[in-house]
Amino acid sequence: MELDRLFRDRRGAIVEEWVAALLRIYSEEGAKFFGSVPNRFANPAGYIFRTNTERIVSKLMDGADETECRQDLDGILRVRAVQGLSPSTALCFIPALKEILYREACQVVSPEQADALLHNWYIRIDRLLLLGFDIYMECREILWQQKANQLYDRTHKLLEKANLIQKEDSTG
Amino acid sequence: MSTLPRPEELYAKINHTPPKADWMDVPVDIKPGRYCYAANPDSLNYVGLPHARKWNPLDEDWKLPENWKEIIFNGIRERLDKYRSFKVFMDICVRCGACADKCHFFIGSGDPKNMPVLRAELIRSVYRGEFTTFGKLLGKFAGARPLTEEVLKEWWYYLFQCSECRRCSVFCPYGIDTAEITIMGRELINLLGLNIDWIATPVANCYRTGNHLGIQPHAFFDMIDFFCDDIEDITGIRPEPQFNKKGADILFVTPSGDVFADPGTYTCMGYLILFEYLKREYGLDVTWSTYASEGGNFGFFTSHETMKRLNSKIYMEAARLGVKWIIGGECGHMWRVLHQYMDTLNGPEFQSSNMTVPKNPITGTVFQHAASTKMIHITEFTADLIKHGKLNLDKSRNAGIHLTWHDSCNTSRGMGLFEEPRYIIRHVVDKFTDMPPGTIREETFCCGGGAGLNAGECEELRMMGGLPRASAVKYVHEKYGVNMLGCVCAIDRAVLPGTMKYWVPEVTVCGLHELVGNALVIPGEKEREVNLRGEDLPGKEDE
Ligand code: SF4
Ligand code: SF4
Repeated sequence: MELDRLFRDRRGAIVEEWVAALLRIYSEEGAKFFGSVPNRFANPAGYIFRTNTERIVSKLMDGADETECRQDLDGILRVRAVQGLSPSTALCFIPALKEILYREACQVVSPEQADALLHNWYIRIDRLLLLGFDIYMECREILWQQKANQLYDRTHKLLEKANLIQKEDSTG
Repeated sequence: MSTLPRPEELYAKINHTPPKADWMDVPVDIKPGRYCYAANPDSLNYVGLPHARKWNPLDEDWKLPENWKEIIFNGIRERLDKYRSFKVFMDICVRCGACADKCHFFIGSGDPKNMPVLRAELIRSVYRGEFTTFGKLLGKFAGARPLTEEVLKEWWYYLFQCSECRRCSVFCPYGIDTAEITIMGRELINLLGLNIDWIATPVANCYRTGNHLGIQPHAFFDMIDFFCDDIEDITGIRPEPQFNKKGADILFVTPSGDVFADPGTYTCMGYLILFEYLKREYGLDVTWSTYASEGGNFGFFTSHETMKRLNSKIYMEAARLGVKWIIGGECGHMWRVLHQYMDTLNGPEFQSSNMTVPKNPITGTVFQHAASTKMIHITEFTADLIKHGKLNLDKSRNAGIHLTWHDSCNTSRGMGLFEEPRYIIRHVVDKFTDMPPGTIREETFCCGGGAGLNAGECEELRMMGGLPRASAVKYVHEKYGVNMLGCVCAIDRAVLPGTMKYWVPEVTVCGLHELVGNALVIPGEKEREVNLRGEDLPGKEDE
């Protein structure tokens, strides 16, 4: 309970740290751009990273279920899924939240106590990570599907109209 | 327990934070999903482009000709002499950074080499290092470097991550147009046979058969005939388009994407309905050509010479048929070539031989701005007809649509076509909401697939580059209920459906003349039940 109050007081700092963890994988210029005061149209990725991170942290602190963070997490991962990152790189900011909270907790309790008190938080962050895997895979699947369908979509109508496609005979 | 690394250390090992380094020292990392396959040598051979061979961008050895450096240096020298713009753009950038965060590929990726200033610097650094005295003397301190194979690979990778959209140029205080530098860069690497197949094969098809896919004349005719069947089913009226008609007044040329790929096909049906209406009402005499059956000019993404050869096919066909002038369909780069390059490439004599300044025979409007090109955009033509009250339009047939408008880069920044489409929109749909300033008109965001980047294998690149466009669409979708994204470019119509599916799946994509075709009431037509996509019209769902 005590930790939860600490986290709420430190919400701003925790978000900052989490955004920093999210941006750590980018080049210096990229991280600077995404981390700058984001305009949602001129810098959509930066805007999504910041606003969605804030919302996820707030929701978790307010005791929401991880699944309620789905849309916000989706926003972040939809961007990461097209940035040429490995899945672990795309998702690594999620477990980083454990460390951020751990460091915060260690300011008021011993490391052993911190791990024990954070037990529930760790479970929730693990669940968030698993949810993240699902979302990331869904995004990648859309890309693969589109890749596979592209040629088909573009030529199928032509071939069909030209009677070059043999329709399956349902009677066998 | 305590000897195990904590999660953060563990992840830090897997995912190294990128090292801090000067951009020149970061080696190129060619990633699948961001590059297009190498050109098929047969296609290069067909149009006589040099050094055709099989090669793979992921291989160490790109099988370059032995004297490749000499070829590039001579190429640069020749272009510095020939194109003043190239020389000026190489010399005057002050690296102020105003363009840096304006490119959709940087906005989506955060990759510094996708900042326009660095994209240009890739070539500029070699120019300095090899062509200027201070660069030769001071080297890296002067932002100069020698040309190496590694540098060449970096050129190739990033020149094919530029869609030549020119958004960056709008923000440069010196008017430096990075798209022009990309064009020069691509022309140079083409001297070494380093094209991509999504450009090279359409170029060969277009040169030989007349369009990107290589659809032969009879198949092109058949496709349009099928559209006429569909239109007859929907309206009860069968259009009778004319093909290759000698002595017709007007030649109509559109991108072949409109003929073979959804949703362009519905736009094509829109053209057919419009011309049929105008023929019946006013006797308009338009012909299609099965030979000049492509508006899009992929030569533009290859070299000035290839652009010129493909563009000339339209005008040679116009001369062969003896038409007075030309209407061009909803295409992007066809217009860029026409407005910005053609006169210089050909000299004005070439296209003026037997043609006249376009004059709309129905309204009497003379399109003086096209006095040299002899060709007008179909939205200019349709807007003029509406302005003179010549079209009978029933907006209610588009009542299910809440439209927003994507200003296609080439027609907006390339030719200033902002008002005509919006004027037509106001007459064919009730619900229209523009996206916010900074994302439309001169500052419009690219679809992410222009300049030949629409290959299946670089889907990721397109989705990444499409993020700024999509986020503005998402905004008007969520705030105002927009459900349709309109555009006047065949590449947009090919790229944006996928982009929407990924980012804003509730929004679909259409061309403008699809909406015109839906709204236009042909005299004597039956009561329509469905739109051109075969979907129930509003109010007809339950009948
Ligand atoms: S022309 Fe477009 S794609 Fe190319 S660098 Fe400029 S903004 Fe980027
Ligand atoms: S805005 Fe113009 S001068 Fe400034 S860095 Fe970009 S290209 Fe150079």
